[in-house]
Amino acid sequence: MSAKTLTDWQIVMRSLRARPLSTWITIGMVATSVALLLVLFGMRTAARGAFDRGSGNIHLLVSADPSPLVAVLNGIFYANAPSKPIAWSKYQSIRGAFPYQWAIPTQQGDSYRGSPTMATSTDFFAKFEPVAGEPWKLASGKFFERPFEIVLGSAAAKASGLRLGQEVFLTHGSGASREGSEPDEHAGHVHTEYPFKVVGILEPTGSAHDRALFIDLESSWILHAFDRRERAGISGVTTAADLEDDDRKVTGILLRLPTRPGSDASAAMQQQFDTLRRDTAIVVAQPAQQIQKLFEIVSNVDGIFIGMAIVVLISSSLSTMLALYNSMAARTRQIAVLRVLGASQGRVFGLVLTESLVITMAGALSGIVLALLGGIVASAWLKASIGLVIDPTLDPRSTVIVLGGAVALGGIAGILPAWRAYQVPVADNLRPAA
Amino acid sequence: MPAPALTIRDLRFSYPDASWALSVPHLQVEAGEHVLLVGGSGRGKSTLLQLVAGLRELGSGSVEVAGVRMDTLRGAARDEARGRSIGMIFQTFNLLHGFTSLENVLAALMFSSMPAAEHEHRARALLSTLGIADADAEVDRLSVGQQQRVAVARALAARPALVLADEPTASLDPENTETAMDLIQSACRAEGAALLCTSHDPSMRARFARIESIDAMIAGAAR
Repeated sequence: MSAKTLTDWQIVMRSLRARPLSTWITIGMVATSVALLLVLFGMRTAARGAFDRGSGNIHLLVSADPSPLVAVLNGIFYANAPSKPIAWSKYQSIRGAFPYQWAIPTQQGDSYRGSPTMATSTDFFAKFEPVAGEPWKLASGKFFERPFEIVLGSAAAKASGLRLGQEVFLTHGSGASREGSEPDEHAGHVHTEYPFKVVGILEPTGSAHDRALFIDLESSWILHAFDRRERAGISGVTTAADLEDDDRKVTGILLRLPTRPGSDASAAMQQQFDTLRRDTAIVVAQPAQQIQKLFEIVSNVDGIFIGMAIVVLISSSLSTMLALYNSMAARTRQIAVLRVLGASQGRVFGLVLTESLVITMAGALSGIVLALLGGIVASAWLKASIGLVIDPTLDPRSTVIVLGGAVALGGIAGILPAWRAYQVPVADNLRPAA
Repeated sequence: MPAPALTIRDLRFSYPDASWALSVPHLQVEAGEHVLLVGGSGRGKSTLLQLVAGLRELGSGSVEVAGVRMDTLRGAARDEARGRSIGMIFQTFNLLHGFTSLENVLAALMFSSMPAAEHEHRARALLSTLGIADADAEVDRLSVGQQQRVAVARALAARPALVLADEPTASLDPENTETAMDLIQSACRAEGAALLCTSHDPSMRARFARIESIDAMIAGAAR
């Protein structure tokens, strides 16, 4: 066992332990502000990640929405049902004009209990990946293979409580009518004539697709043909044979251009983007570009939040400074005694500065733990409640920046109290107390 | 022959408002010698000890402790020299509260030239010699007499050439004064340290072979 000595570190720790309330409150304030800052940074990264998920391996999205951004929000994030359709012939013309890897038609507009449905082709599950490199996975059942089969996104399945083999009736539009309940006047028309059988439930993807239900395109066309025929006074069951060209509509086209092996980018992207843009009847969007634009729009609000968190961090540093500065009044005798024993002014300065750094470092590390725990709890809650997958780990770069910033502020906060300790008049503080 | 523990030459000091001045033409304390510095309260005995310890700046003159000119040293060098050559005992002990007896003595050794590996052994031995049985007890839990013993141990820990005792018995009754001075003087003798002790208590005179008067020094400065 090594011989015991007294070190500067022990003096610092003893000094902090001598005023536990002040020390713990100050550490708590630093921890809270660091955690707040990390959570805000984390949420920004997570939100970006959540938006990046969903567009997957799409290169271009074509729709008849008013703008590319609206096209992405509607076509990938199910913000609203697209207001204008695209004719099937237009889809065929676009698909035939260029050797795309794939061109998947989609149609939105119907819903089940408020969850949006997407009618599409079997390629949607075979070729489109909701997250690049992560193809669809089934939690149970199979993908749809024929009309009137329905596949549920994970969050939609959880929200509806539906199981394999159950039958559901879709609502035309996104109204609030419910299967088995009386439709109200504000609700869309429930197609009780056409039951859909649940054949598959998807694994969570962490994207907006988890909230949706997926059906075959032809089923959707039949529902709309039924409405057309009903308005025309034609009764009876509508089948694929009754479909007319005007029934065959889509609201979006997901496109993937040819790429070199091992690369996600396409050399033809810009040229094809420009070619499609010349058609004024449609809009064409590069999802990644539109998501970037969306984040630029909200970046000011984002900046305000980050700014507020930085102000909180600076406030906690001021608290550290005040706590240490005020403690100096009660410690002048201790400092004077250390000086008598041989401690230099510089060493005393260093002791107090170290106290500030210890408080800040302890607070910052506690803040990181707090942010991690908070992230784990929040991500579990988000996944359970809305199916949003957020990585609870902290971004190493943000963590290092916040930690470094907090410690630097702690160092600055310690300068004034340390300077006061440096200037303690030794002789005056050795006299017996009055 | 060892260097004198303390040599003061032509020391002059006055407070900034010049209301009070101190002059010491010459004062020498030999190695191991015990000297009592007497004078009334507020006459500057404590100030002289602080000047010797380098805690105040001289107006002029020189102070040499164990052959080292304290007055020419500045900043950390002077602090280091004080830690190595001078031990101080105060009326109210000025122990580090919240620390144990052992840690109070180790605090003095932190700034000494003694190798760190010897610190604990030295501190425990000194405390044991001075009658402190539980070196690991916090000083706040000790009696006044025990606290004084810790203060003496701390002053002698770094084997200083000179111990400065500033009114060490001012707050004690006559019986405890005897005990305390026995302790301080015997410990200094055992360690071979010179002692410059201030007191305004006339009964202390009998304990010292040599007595210097601060009043005479101030009178000298006034002339």
